[in-house]
Amino acid sequence: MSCTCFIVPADVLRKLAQDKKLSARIRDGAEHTAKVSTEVRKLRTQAAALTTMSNPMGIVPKALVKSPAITVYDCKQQQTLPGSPIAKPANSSDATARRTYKETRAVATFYKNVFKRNSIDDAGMTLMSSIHYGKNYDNAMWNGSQMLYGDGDNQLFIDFTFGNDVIGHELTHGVTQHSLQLGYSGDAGGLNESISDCFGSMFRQWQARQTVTSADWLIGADIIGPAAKKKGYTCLRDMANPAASHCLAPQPTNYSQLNPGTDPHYASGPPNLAFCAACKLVGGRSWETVGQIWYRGLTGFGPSPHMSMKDFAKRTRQLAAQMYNATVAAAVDKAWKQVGL
Amino acid sequence: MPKPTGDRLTIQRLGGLGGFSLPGSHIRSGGELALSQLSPADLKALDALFQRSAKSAAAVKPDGFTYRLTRTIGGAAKTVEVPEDQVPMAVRNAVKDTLD
Repeated sequence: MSCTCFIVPADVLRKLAQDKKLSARIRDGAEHTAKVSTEVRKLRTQAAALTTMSNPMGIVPKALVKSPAITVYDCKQQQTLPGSPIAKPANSSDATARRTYKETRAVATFYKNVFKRNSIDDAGMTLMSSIHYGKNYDNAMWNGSQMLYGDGDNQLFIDFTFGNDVIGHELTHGVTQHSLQLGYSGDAGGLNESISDCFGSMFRQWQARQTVTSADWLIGADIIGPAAKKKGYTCLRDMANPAASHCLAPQPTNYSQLNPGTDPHYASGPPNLAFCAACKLVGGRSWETVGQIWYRGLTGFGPSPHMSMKDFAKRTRQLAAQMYNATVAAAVDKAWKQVGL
Repeated sequence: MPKPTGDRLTIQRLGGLGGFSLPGSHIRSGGELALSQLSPADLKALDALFQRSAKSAAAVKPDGFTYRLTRTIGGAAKTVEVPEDQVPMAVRNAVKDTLD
C-alpha cells in the first residue's frame, strides 16, 4: 500500500478524509494515514503489553551499552509523537531541551550509581523524551515507550521539565513497566504511582545531597505556576503529609480511606506516607537504606501486575529484615502500620 | 460562552500527574460543547467511543488523563470514560483548568 504520511493528529486526518473539496487522492491518503496513526497508537500499547508478557518467560534483553543514549524530540506545541528530533539536545538553544537532556542523564546516573541499574530496562534502553507536547499542556507522562512533557499553562503550572522529581517520576514508570509491571487501577495502580513518587523524590534528594530530615518530601514543588502559588499551593503532593492544605491534590493518609476504583494519584497517599515515615525512622539518606528495600521489592521478584498494597508491605517488611537488621525491620513495620497496612 | 442547553457533550478531565478533578483536588478540569459545534468527523469519532464499554481504564497510560464524557441527546444522557489519546482534538480543546 502506498501511504502519504502527514504529521497531524488522527482526528484532523479524519476530517480531511471527509472533505469533499479535496481530491480523491488526498482524501484517500488522509484516510490511510489516520488508520496508520491508530495502528501506531496500538503499537505503543502493544510495546507495554510485550514487556508484560516476555519478562516472565525469561525473555530478558541483554545490555548492549554501558549507559543509555538520551534522545529529545520537539513536539512544537502539537500532540503528535515523537515530534522533530533535536540533534544535540545537550547544546540546544532551547533551554527545555537542555534541561530535559541533563536531568534525564542524571536520572540514569542515579539508577546506575545507587541501584546498579542500566537504564529503565536494566539493559541500556534509550531514554526518549518529547518536549513542548501540546499547547499550554498541564501534564507529563510515560506512554509505555517514552516520556512526554507539556509546557504548562503558566498559570497553574510552568514547564514540567523544571521538576527534576517529575522527570524521575516519569522514568520510574518505565522501570516499573520493566520489573514489577504493576497495573494502573486498584491497589496496584496506587502502588505504581507511589513508587514513581518515592523514586522521583529520592532522585531530587540525591541531587541535592539531602538527608531525610532536610528533604521537603514535596512532589512537583518546582512546576507550580503563579496563580496556584498565589492561592498558597506549593506542590502537587506532600509525601510527609499527604492531606496537607498546601497540596494541589491532597491525598488520604490511611489505607482504610481508599475505595475500589480510586484513581492511582489519590490511592498513592498511604504508601507514600509509609515510605517517608520509614525513611525518617531509619534516618540518614533515603536512598541508602529504605530506598534499597523498596528497589529490591520493585525489581527482585519478577512481575506481579495485580499486587496489593498489603503484599508489597509484607515484602518490604521481609526484605528489611533480610537485607539489614531488626531495627530497620521495626521501622518499616511501624511505618506501614501507621497507614493501616 | 453561554452554556449549551440542547444536545451537548459535558467533559470532565481526570487524573494526570497532577491528579486533576480527583476527590479533594483543588484543580477542576472540564468543559461543555453543543454537539452542533462538532464536525461530522468528530461526531463520528464520538459515536465510536460511546459504542464501546462504559469504562476502558486499562488503556490509560501512567499519568495520562482520563476523559469522562457525558453525551446528552434528547434529554437522555450516557457517560463513558476514555484515555486522552482517543478523544478528538476539538473536544480536548474545549477543556479549561481552574483552581478552587
